[in-house]
Amino acid sequence: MTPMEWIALAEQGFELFMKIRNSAKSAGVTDEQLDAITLDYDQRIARRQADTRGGDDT
Amino acid sequence: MRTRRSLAPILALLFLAACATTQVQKARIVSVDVHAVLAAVDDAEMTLCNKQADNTCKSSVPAWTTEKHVEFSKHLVVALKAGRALNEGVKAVPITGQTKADLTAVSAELEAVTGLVKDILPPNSTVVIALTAAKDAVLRLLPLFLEGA
Repeated sequence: MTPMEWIALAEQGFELFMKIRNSAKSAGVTDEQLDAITLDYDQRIARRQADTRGGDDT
Repeated sequence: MRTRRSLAPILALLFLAACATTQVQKARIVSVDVHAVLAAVDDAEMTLCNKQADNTCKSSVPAWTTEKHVEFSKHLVVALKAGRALNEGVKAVPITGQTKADLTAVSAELEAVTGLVKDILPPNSTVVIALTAAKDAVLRLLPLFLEGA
């Protein structure tokens, strides 16, 4: 699964992440999956930082 | 007999390597879990805010104002940054004390945002439910993470 596919999953919410978690538990978490999570964090941080500055969050 | 003795150190090394691999995988699963709960809290509050074109919130809960949303965001930025640092930390072997501190920081910020929503949002609010689940998850993960780190 590519990082972009993981991000697409992330956008679909918590339940899918729990599925990822369960698959990770059985198959192990790869560096690629961790990289995808870091990218998702970056997007969320940027969106929240835009809010705290009162700017556009798009 | 000689063969058994000569194999013992190799077997011991293989055993230790297997244990280390298990510990690293545990820590990585913790990072996936922390990300899941933070993402759930982030998404739930964004939905509650119901952001308008002029960057103000138009929440179904009138007391959940734009100012509250901004305060919430300030704390969540800290929590998300700590989660990100934790996620980067679990890639490295061995996992450092800083990574443990990152998980503690996530926990502290979740407490802070819980204080913000207290007495404003009803207990059945998605944000409250997500926060409760997140705090419960972090509390459960912390000892596991310490074992794994």
